[in-house]
This record gives sequence, structure tokens and C-alpha cells, in this order.
Amino acid sequence: METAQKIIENISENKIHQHYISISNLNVSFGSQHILKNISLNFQKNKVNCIVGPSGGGKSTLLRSINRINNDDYNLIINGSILFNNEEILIKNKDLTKLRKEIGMVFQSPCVFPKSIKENVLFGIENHSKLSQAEKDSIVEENLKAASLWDEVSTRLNESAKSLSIGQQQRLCIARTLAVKPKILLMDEPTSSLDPISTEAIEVLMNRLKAEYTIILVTHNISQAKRIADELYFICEGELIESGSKDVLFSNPKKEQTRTYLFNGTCNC
Amino acid sequence: MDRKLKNSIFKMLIWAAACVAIGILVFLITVLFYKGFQSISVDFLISESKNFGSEGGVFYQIIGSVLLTLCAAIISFPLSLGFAIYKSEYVKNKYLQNFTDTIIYSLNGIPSIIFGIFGLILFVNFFNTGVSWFVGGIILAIMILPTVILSSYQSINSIPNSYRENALSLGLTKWQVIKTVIFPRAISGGFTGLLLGLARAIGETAPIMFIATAFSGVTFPNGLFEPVSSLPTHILSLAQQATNPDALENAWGSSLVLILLVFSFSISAFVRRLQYSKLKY
Amino acid sequence: MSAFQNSIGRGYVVSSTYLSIAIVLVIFIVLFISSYDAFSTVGWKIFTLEWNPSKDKFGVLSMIYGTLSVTFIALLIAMPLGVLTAIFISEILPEKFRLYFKSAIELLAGIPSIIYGLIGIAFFSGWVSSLFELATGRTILTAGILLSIMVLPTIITLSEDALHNIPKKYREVSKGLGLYPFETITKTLLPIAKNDIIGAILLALGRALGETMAVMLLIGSIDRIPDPFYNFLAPGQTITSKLGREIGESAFGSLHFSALNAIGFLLLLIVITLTIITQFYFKKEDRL
Repeated sequence: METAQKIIENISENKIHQHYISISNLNVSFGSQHILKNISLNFQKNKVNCIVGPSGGGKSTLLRSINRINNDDYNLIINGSILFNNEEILIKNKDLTKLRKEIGMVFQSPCVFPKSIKENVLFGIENHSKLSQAEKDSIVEENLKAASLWDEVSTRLNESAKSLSIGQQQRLCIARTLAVKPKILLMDEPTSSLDPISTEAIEVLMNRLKAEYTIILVTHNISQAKRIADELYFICEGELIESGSKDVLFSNPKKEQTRTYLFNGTCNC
Repeated sequence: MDRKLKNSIFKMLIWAAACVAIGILVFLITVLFYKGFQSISVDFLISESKNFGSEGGVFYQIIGSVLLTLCAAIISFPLSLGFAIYKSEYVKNKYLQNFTDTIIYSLNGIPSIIFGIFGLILFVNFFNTGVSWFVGGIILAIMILPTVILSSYQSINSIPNSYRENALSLGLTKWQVIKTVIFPRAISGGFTGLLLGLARAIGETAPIMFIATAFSGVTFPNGLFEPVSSLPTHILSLAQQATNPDALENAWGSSLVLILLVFSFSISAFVRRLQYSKLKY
Repeated sequence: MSAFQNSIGRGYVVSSTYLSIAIVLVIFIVLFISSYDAFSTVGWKIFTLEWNPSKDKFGVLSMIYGTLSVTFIALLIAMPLGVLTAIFISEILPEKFRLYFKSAIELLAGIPSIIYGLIGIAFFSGWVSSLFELATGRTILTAGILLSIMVLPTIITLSEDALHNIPKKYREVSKGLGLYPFETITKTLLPIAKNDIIGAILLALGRALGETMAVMLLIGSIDRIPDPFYNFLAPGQTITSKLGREIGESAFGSLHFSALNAIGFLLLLIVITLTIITQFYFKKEDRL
């Protein structure tokens, strides 16, 4: 608690508002395996913050630390500081439930519950507050629209969510996450298991959602980053190599490794 | 010896073994059903036993057996679900996992007569309950714990972790995740295990013969701490009078009733398992 | 509210776990305490031959002998029969019959032991006595044969699983090398499935040691080691049959009761050790 406050004092007011999520000296290990090494970076509000890098480099670990979904993982050791809206996330008795309501997450492969489409949208929010039937209906409609799925499923809301295509399932997962009204969306390679058409639908969706949400996207697909990222963070072998706005990184990267990765897709770090 | 000859001999051995095994199977089933149906009737099922069981029926024995298993089910089901959920959702430490495994396996390995002795010492004598069907139910519940725990645990454990993470990421508390995602599966798997456990419990003699049952002259129990009579102990007392053909005939009848009860439990468990093995989460 | 639910829920699962663990420990403690009298009074004399409660003589050797010999006979019959039948189901029987066959065998495993006992009394003891021209058919051999039938399903089911789980490619490679089916089985499949089959046999051994009702009805219940000791056509006594016959007749708190508990405790230790070894053995061993 004390260290958290010290860190907060050290950071100037306006910087916090601008950055929204601010990570400093983050180290994550599983047992003796050091996954993330001294990561310090800031994610920008209402932008698509895109973390790129080769597989196994620690991108997902970083993302999973932000809503502490890895809290129960075996042998996890996590040090450093993650500030969200002024508040330290990495304190011991942080209310994780509240944190995860504010920081939603969409996973790599869609994971719908064996329930109806409607019940899937309501799955999270229903546990947080008592809803009337009318409220439920409006939440379902609103969020399915927000996830660009409404037109496709509006006539069969009571059918099993398993009957949807994988691309639709992923958008259903996004709708489910939006229904909880998070401020930040963590997206862990959300299109990697999808076909090109569904991928495009989700990319368009992300572009639209950034007006209301802050998006942190992990991808190993460089052309996807090029299409939709605003800010780019290049992580390799657990270290942050370079970060900055997409245009700068793609046109004039400071580091040689960044150039190699962004243009050749290979990594020499 | 010539390879081809060896091959033929080996093949013959396998066929012979299979025939013996099938022969045993057929023999047992035929004897039980043939002898059983010869001595069973509606009257047999609804009348009480007379003359130490060699005359009359098995009505109160059925009641007693059902009472014992019902009691065992009610006690062991919630306990097993709790154990299975704790083991799968809360225990992360490898050593603790091994310890819980050891506990389950030990319980599973305890010979049934030992449960009977345990119940006799602790409940009947130490707590002075006397011979009681309720104590019998508790002991049978303990005996089937491992079966129910393992079955429930396996079905929880087969839920991919991503479901837990997705639910957590929507801001559900751990218990809400358990309630919505884990519990339905735990109950379904646990119920299959419960059926298997009850199939075993209803046929057990050794654990209950000193602590829960009286051999004759027992009707409905008036309270928790009263004896009942049960099918397996009834068969035991009839088997000990096997020189009396009437007793033997009633023993076959009781055996058939017991077998049908056992099979109805185990067959429903098989059917459930088949259905769920097709179903993917 | 949800935090409250959270702690109630946790309380529920934690307490059911600890209660179950406590039960196992209590079983051990209770049995140990009530056998303590016998251990301290009788001491090493427990490993003698004579059992006579009225003279305070509690030797359990004949029961240990009975348990071991009955188990030995049971495994001697059930092991080859079980493994060969498993080979039959896995390698010869067409796949579509396999499930029916296995279900039937699993049903067989569900028949209560008292019913096996009844069948033994009604048929087996008569057969043994007329075949060997004995006065009584209740002998160690009869109990052993019946016990072999009782553990047969365990051996068949688990060995068959082990064989069936071996990927098809091993059979194809073997066949491709020109091996006879029997050579494929003995040289390729059995070595791969060996550990699982041993596990199955250990499990069956545990069951056989602890089996009570059928053995109690068929072994004749006489505390004696036959002469010569391999004369299995004589009546005997196992630990479990002794317990089943006498525990109801002994007075709670007496040395007699305590001595019976002591052999129960010994049996418990043996069987539990065996079970734990088996289970971890099953788990650790990494399959293909």
C-alpha cells in the first residue's frame, strides 16, 4: 500500500489522466522462468494500444497481468507497479472482481457457455445486479448491436450459442464483455482463430469501439497492427524493445530489432 | 517349437480363457435369474418374512435397504461435491493435491469389514447409539465417498480453464464462477458417481451387519437409532440355513431383488456416462 | 452480498474437505486405540498359532496363512484367465461387441459379495466335496476359486483398457515386420501394457485381501494351518472371516475384542499400503 502511494505521488496528475494505464518496472516470473523483464510503458486512453512481438515473448503474460486474471496461476511471482486510473492494481487485497468489471477481457479463442445466446450476453452482468426482464432485453440488444452481431442473431436469441460460427461466437464474447460496462478492453489475439472475413468484422468493430473504450490488443499479426493500431508496443523475449505511435514505428523505428520485426517478421533479439 | 504352432496354441489358449470367462458370466446370470424368478412373486415383495426368513417375503428388507442407501446418498453427496470443488478449484499446491489423492485412495482401499468395525466401536459402543440404521447410513456414506468424489472431480476437471478465466474476466467472484460454471458439472458428474456408489452400498453386508441391522422381527424403525433389516444381511442369514430348502429358495428370491436394485443403479450410471461422453463442454 | 456468498461457499467446500480427511484419520486412530490393548498385552505372541479367547491366547498365524493362501489361489486362477480374456476382448473380438462385453463384465463386478457367497454355498462347495470326495466342501480351495471369480472383472477390465489404449500403429508395424499375431501380442503389446496390467493385478490383490462375506461363508472357519501346509482341501480361516464371525460375539472392551481389532488393524495397514502404492504407480507411470 505504502509503496503504491509513493509511486502515485511521483507521477504528475495530468500524466495519469493521459495514460490511464501506467506500468512501471513490471517483472513477472513463473517459478524460475522469468517471463517479463522490467517493463515500463503507458497505454493511451481511447486508443487501440497494440502489443506486438513474436510468440512466447510475454505479450499475453503482460495482458493477463493487467486484470490479474493470472492471479491464481501456479508459481506466479509478480513485481512492480500497474496503475489504473491512479490506483495500484498489484496490491495484495485489491478487489479483483471490481477490477475485472472495469477491465474486460476477450480471449484468443471464443469461449461461449453452453447456454443460449441471450444468456451468454447476460452471463456477467446478471451476477452483478438484479435486472428486470425489460432491462435484460435492452442490454442484450444494445450490446449485440455494439458488437455488430444483432442483425445476424436477433431472431434466434434463445438458441444455443454453440450454434454460432466461430467468428460470431467471438463477437458474442465481445458483446458479453461490453455488457459488464468496462472502461478498458483487453484483447488477446482475438482474431487468431478466425477466418479473414470474421477478422475484418472484428477489426472494424475495434475501430468503432475505441471511441468509448480503451483497447489494449495483443497480436502477432503485423499487418493487423498496421491496419488498426494507434499506439504500438514491441515486446520481445520479455523486454519492451520500443514503443510509440504506429506511424513513427512503422516509418522510422529507433531500434534495429523493431525494424527487422515489423518489416521482415523475424526477430533477432 | 515352430512359430506357427506356437501361434495356434496361443490362440487356442485365448479362446479357451474367453470361453471360461463367458461361461462364468452366463452361469452366474442364469443361476441368479432362473433361481430368482422361480421363487419370486408379488406376494414375496410385499409381505414380511416369517420363520427366520425361510417363509414369507422381503418387504421390510427392501424398505431397510432403501432407507440405508437413501441415508448414505444424502450424507455423502454434499460432502463429496464440496471435496471435489475444493480439490479442483482451491488446491493449487502439488503436495496438497497428492495428500488429498492419498486420502481418497486410502478411503477407497479400506476393506468393507473395517468400516463395520469402525462403526461398531465409535458409534454403537462409544457414542452408545445402539444398533441403528442411521449409523449404517453414515458408514455407507463414508464408504462411497471416494467414488462420488472422484467422479465429480473428474467432470469438473474436464472443464477447460478458459471457461473459468472468461467468467472471472467478466468480474464474477470465485464463488459465482463455481456456482455458474463449475457446480452444474460437479452435480452431474457427482450424480453418476453416486449411482455407482449406491450400487455398491446397497449390496454391502460386512459394514452394516454389526451396526445397523437385526436379522428378524424388524419392521419400520421408529427413530434414527433403531435397527432395520436389509436384503444383504437377510441373504446372509438365509445362506447360513442353506440346508433348509425353503430358506435357500427365499435366499435366491432375495438375491434377485437385490441384484435388480444394484443393476438399476449401475445401469443408470452407465447410461449417464455414455450420454455425457458424447457431450463436449 | 457476493463477498458474503464467497466466504460461505469457501467455508462449505473447505469444511467438507477437512471433514472427509478427519474421517479417514479417525478411522485409523479408533482402530489403533482399540487394538492397543491387544498389542501391549499379547505383544509378539500375536504371531503364534493358538487362538483361544478363554485362555487369553491370541495367535493369528493361521488367519494370516488363510488370507495369504486364499489370495494366492484366487490370483493364480484369475491372473492368466483375466489377462487372456482381456487379450481376447481387445485383440480378437470385433470392436462393435467390445462395449457390450465390457458392460456385462462390469455388471458382474457389481454383484454383491454376499450373493457370490450364496452361489458358492449352493454350488461350489458341493462340487468341490464330490470332486475330491471330502466330507465338507467348505475349504480354502473353494474360497479361493470363488474369490478368483470375484476379482476377475477387475483384472479383465483394467488390463483390457491398457491393451486397448495402445495406438494402432504398433500393431501395424508389428504385422508389417511379418510377426504372427501372438508375437505381436507377446513381444509388442504386452510389454507396453505391462505396467498397467501389474497395476490391475495389485488392485485385485487388495480387493481379495479385504473380501469378507463370500470367503466367510465358504472357508469353513477353522483356525488351523492344514498339514501339509499346501493342502488347500482343508478348511481354514482368513482375517476377514475371523472378524466377520467373531466380532459380534466378543464383548466390547475385552481383550478378545481388542485382539480382533488388532488383526483388523493389521489388515487395514496391509491393504492401504497396497492401495496407495497401486494408485500412485498408476498415476506416475507415463504412457505412450
